[in-house]
Amino acid sequence: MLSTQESTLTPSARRFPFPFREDSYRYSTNVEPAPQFVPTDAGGWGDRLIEIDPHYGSELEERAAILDRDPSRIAMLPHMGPAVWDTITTLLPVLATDYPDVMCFTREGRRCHWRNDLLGLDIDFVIGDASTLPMEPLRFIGSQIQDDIALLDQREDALWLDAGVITFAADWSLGFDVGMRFLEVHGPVPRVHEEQIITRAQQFLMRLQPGEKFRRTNWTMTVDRRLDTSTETYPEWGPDRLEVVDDPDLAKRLHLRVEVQHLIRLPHSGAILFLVRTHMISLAEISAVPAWRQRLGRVLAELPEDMADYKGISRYRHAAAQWLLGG
Amino acid sequence: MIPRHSSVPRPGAVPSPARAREYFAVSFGNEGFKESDAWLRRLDHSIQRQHVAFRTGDDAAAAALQARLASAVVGIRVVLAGPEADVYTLRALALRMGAVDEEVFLLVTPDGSRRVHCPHCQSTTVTDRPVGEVVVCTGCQKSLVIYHHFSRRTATYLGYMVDAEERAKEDAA
Amino acid sequence: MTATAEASAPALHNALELVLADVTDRTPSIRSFTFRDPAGNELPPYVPGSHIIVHSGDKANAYSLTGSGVLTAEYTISVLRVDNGGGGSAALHQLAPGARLSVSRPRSAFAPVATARHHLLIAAGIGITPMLSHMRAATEWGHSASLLYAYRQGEGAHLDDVRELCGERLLECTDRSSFLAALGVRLGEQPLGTHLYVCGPQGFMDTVLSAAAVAGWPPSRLHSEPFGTADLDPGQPFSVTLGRSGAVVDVPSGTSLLKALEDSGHKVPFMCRQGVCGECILPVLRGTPEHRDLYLSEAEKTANNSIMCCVSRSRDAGLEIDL
Ligand code: HEM
Ligand code: FES
Repeated sequence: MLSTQESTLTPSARRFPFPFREDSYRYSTNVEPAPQFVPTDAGGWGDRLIEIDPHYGSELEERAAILDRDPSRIAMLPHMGPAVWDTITTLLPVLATDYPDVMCFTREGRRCHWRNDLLGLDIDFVIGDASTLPMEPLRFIGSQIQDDIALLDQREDALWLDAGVITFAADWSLGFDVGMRFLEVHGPVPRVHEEQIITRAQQFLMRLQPGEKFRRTNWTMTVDRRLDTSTETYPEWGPDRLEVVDDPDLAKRLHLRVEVQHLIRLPHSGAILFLVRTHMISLAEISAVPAWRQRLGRVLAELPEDMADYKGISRYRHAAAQWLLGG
Repeated sequence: MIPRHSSVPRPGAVPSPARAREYFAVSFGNEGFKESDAWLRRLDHSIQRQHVAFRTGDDAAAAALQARLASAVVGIRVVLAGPEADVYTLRALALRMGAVDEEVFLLVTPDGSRRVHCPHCQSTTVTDRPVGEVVVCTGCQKSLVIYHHFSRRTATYLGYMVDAEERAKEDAA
Repeated sequence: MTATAEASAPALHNALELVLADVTDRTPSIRSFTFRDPAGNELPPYVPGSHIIVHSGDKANAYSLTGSGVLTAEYTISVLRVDNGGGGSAALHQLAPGARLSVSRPRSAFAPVATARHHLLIAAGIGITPMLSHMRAATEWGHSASLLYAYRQGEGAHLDDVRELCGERLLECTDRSSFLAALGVRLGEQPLGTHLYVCGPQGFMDTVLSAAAVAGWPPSRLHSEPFGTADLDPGQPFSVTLGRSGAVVDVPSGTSLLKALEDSGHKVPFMCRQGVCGECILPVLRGTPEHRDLYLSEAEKTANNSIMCCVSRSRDAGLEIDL
């Protein structure tokens, strides 16, 4: 029996959404109802829809700086206005319920009041009137949660990625993908089409009823806890993938990157709200949980080449597996 | 090889005419003109049609389509014929103006031209290179690999820096 | 618009218990019912064109909500009394304010298309109800919409509402020939980007849809009210034999096989409980499953040697699984 060294566990390890159910990993339509607590070898996660952690302030500052630098990370096709308001009136009450000490939302008709002590924010606004918010509505809701946000419209028997604020993308570009069908968005992913995973996911999502909430996890790896690994900035972070292989600090620099993705049918617009919350933990931190250490090592060693290539981890995954399994 | 399920368009068989109030055709180049003309001849004589021909895809062609669609009523079909870069660009315009896929007929003449979007500097580069090969971005001079990912909204392929990961090594050497 | 759900009412999933707050006669045969939360809380918002399933007696019927769906202090439906119908309209008509009812959460199966440049709404008779919802939402969001309303003289429900709401955007027809003439004109003058929505008796909807097709409207611009597609029907009760122990587990209507197995102390892996993730697959030893999942391929479904127990059921009495 592997035991966990409680004392060396970081708080983020205790809440980390460790995604592997087995020693090997394949794609599947891995959706489950949300929220729902999942115990792990280090603690557990998932009892809240929106998770606020100690990185809240710094991640939101980073998002704001990215959006100032590169406005293509936020996009909204003209018909998505009601869906954005729907997102605001769905998420703020959830936050207020889950974090009552620091957040408060009240509404009377279209008039809303929102207080967020973590950001020193206290505002009144009117649903449908963008001028009553401190910034454009989509950017506003993106400034209250650490999650990246995508909104999908449903029409012509398909889902369309028609709006979003995505500053922490794992190797894709919202600016390029906006306006695509769900199936087109997933065009570059290997295996999932032959295995009907994406068509099945789309059918499932199109049948979601208002208010229903599901979630799934996805994972990859990132060098140095860098949140912004978008296609836009690939020339900046691409070199790290090679550099890290021979770095004696590999275990501190390489992070398992897990996205907790929520899938929510918005009640009035009928759009699908897709939230992507990124969590990262270094191999060094993982090694404090022997069960995780071994499982991640085996997953990385076994992962088929096409999946590793697609995730962009081919250069270093065997070095990582060796460190995890050998030490 | 381009995976079969990617977002890359695959011009299929020539589409058959559908029940419609009228057809509006825009063609590019000789080949495009001939294709479009032959296709319109297959329509029932009673159906109204109009065909405007351009030598190449440029602002004038976009303006002509825009002007026609601005006053169009439901029941119209748009026919676009010519090289893929021109045809997909005007399809994007038609969709933006409210058309749905079923209302746009594409007759692509093979000439290999394509438009590539650079996410690093946001420019568009026109090239004859096929998917999988490398093109130099006219905006930032980076070498972009033409990826098997296509946006119908912008009628562009995604290109991303081909040697970003090796660069560190070269710089160090 | 009304549609009859199952004759014997299924247990409503996650239903709302509401109080009937108001009853108003619209025409001699159409009556409106307004429901509120007994504690005065707001009700869940809904997509324009949504319906709720209302239980009365042992009947369950689907009725369109008539509000915009944005500010939802109450739910209002209008019900045409059908004396010999299979549904519960007659029973509903007997209810008085103060009555408590079990009402499903709103379900969306007739949503407006967000990209539409214009919404052309066409209704006949009681088919006006989802159109009221669409028109109210379009007005609130500043979207372009117009309404063509056909009704028999003296039987037009919600006339005051639609006249006030639509003004110039309303065209009323009280006989078939004037309706057909107006329809022909309207179908030929809608700006590119218009979507058409129709609700009314089946024959009326067929007339409108085929006239639109003749006028060159592509299918993806045409929307008619389909009831009940969003709900998975509760299914017939059946029982299943567990191959390894020989035990027999009963699965009542409205309960999934997965739930029945769990309730009888059997652990089955699961994730989605929606028939998509593939976790709950069980080998079938005998019998014919009624496949209702999205996971198994057509070939696997035909082979009948596995079952996704979270949604699928049995076609016959002799289902046996390897558990
Ligand atoms: C049940 C729902 C979904 C499933 C099963 C699913 C599945 C997947 C899988 C397996 C990948 C590959 C990930 C990897 O190997 O790292 C992927 C990538 C991706 N997914 Fe999803 N996904 C779902 C929902 C969504 C939604 C709602 C969006 C919203 C836009 C989305 C956007 C993306 C994007 C942008 C990528 C990257 C594609 C690229 O390489 O350009 N997914 N998805
Ligand atoms: S639990 Fe997901 S398919 Fe049954």
